[in-house]
Amino acid sequence: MQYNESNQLYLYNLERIYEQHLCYPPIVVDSAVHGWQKYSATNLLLVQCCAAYYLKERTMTRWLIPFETVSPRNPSEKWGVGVQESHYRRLCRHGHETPRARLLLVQMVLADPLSIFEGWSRPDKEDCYVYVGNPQTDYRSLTIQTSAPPNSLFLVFILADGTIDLWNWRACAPGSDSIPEDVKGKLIWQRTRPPPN
Amino acid sequence: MATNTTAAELADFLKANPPAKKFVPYTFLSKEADALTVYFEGDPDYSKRLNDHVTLFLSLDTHEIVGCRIKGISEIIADLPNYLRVQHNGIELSVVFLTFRGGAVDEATRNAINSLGKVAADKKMKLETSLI
Repeated sequence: MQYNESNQLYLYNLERIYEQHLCYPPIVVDSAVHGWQKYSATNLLLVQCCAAYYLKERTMTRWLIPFETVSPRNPSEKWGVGVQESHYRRLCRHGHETPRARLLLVQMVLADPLSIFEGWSRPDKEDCYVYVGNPQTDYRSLTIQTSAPPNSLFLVFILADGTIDLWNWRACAPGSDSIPEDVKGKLIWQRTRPPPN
Repeated sequence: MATNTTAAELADFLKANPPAKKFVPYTFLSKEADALTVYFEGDPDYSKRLNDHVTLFLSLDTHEIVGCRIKGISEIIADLPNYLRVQHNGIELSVVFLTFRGGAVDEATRNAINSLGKVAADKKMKLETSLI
């Protein structure tokens, strides 16, 4: 369909509605149920915009912030993972700046992990993963960058479907600078080459 | 964004989508992860596993508890109605921590659980019934 200025405005408004309510306005659902016949020409334009936007959203990535990382099943392949929109919006809504800024560390770790652990050492979570990295910096906020906490590794917890669930620093296990403390999953992959400069 | 967000794209995105200015304590129940995440304070933090069910989030500056993650939360929530009446506006979050008090095997764990309960009570934090 052709996008004119009015359509763009509708799409902009729809985006704002989605951000605030994490759902589309009822008109999208209504049009899917009842068809478009009941709408006037003006409303039909809105319905078309809604439908187009909805389809665009559905066919794009299911994550707001997608990443590709080493596949735990086949390290020579890539695995698509990401942060859900609801997760990111929650951090924003509650003013939780540190984990928001630390998404930059998530990106670093997933681009070049140090190791991968399979399982979260509890029932029904054997198919989840922990990606471990050792960034040299920390982000307390987007504008405050410090050195990484001493003797610590950055962990990214990923569900079986690729959803990034949690990320944070964790102390190294005693006597190790590459194994995190109290991560009891199975070590399934380790970086063998030196990190890029 | 494409299927792989670069550092530059991510930095641009974060700048364009800023957070609220003031931190507000929150709880988040993830059914997929079967975990309850709680943050009392927004300090830069690190994680420390307390036991099989509880991971603490501690301030990088003060090492005080700023939040926690309760794992295997679905079993706890399923059992709660046996012990208390769930009200329409939610249950006290501190009650959730009480469930771990009896199983605390050492003083450090007991102290941590008590701290979690105290902060949750002080901040009047609730687990909304809509989340359950």
